[in-house]
Amino acid sequence: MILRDYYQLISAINLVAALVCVYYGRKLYESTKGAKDFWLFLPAFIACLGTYIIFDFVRISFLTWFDSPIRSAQDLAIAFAAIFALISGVYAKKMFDELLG
Amino acid sequence: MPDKRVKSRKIKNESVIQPHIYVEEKGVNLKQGVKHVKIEEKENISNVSSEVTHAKNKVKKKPVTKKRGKTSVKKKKSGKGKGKKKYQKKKNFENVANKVLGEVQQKIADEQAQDLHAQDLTDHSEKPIETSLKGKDLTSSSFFSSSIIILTFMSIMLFLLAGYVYPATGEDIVKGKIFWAINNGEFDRGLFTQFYTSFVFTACVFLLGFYVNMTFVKYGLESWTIFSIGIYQMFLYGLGKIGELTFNHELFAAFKDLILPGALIILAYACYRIFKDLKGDNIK
Repeated sequence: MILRDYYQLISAINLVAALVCVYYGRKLYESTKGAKDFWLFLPAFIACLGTYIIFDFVRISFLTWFDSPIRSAQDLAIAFAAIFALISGVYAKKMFDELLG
Repeated sequence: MPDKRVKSRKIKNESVIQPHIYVEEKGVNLKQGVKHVKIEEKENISNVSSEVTHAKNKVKKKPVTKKRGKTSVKKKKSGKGKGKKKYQKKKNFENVANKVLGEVQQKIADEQAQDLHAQDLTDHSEKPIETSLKGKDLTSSSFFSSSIIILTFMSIMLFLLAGYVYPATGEDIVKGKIFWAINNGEFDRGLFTQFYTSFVFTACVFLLGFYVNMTFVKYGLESWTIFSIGIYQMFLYGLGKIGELTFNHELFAAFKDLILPGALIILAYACYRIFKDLKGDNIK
């Protein structure tokens, strides 16, 4: 079994799953708009993750000759995802501290 | 003659006292009426209307004017003109009072609508968490809250071990002694930015997973347990990326390529469950 032959299938599965995540992440944001900061940064983290996966899909499926710039864009997306993940984690703790007093 | 002087003095005193009282009373009553409306905006409007009628009754007092050098008491003149003027004054006062009442009513209605809207928004996010926390023993912790650190530590140790057990040297590559899934390794990995972003991503995802376990999972919110598993798989993906760049071995590349779809599918399902819990069971 050579994994490289299945890269496109794997990236397609990743894309579908990421789009579902982004869709429900957006729904979460819309339903809790203005409520708490955690509900802003968690969808932002999911959105950046989705961007990373979309770039990966595009790089593997269509634009193989633009490898380097797309990888750079992926690195940027993953860096932002990391920042939003950290902030949402902190806000989750803060939200629970406020809820429980 | 002396009687007249005494009489005129009396009248003078009365006329000096009365206008001040009248002006003060009128001013205080009106001010009090408006103040009452401003402070107690959210109470029953009938209180305000009772104040208005009270103020109206106060206006009916006999006015007394003081002229320079002379004192005079205004006599009640009979006639249509005077009555009409009084009626007009009354009407004007009523109009002003009604206008104030209307504005206050509008303000209260707007504030109530705003409060309801804000309550509705906060209910969506806090109510499901608050209601699910009711009746739970908040001092106890579930399995996942204490095991996340152990799992994380074990994963890091495992990856370090794998990297040292399966390093791809130059000779291995030439002789073909590398991971059996591919023909030869690609050695353009290990780029500086990729390595550091992967490192930062892994650390931050670990922290997100830790805080989610300390909060949502600890208090037994089920959808968030699934989310936590997805986050843990993303953490493993990050470790695989670091291992791929550090140890230059295809084992890590294959691992990360296989674990990422699983992580995303679990995260997608978890997001769906969380949204469903947040909205209630009325999603279409």
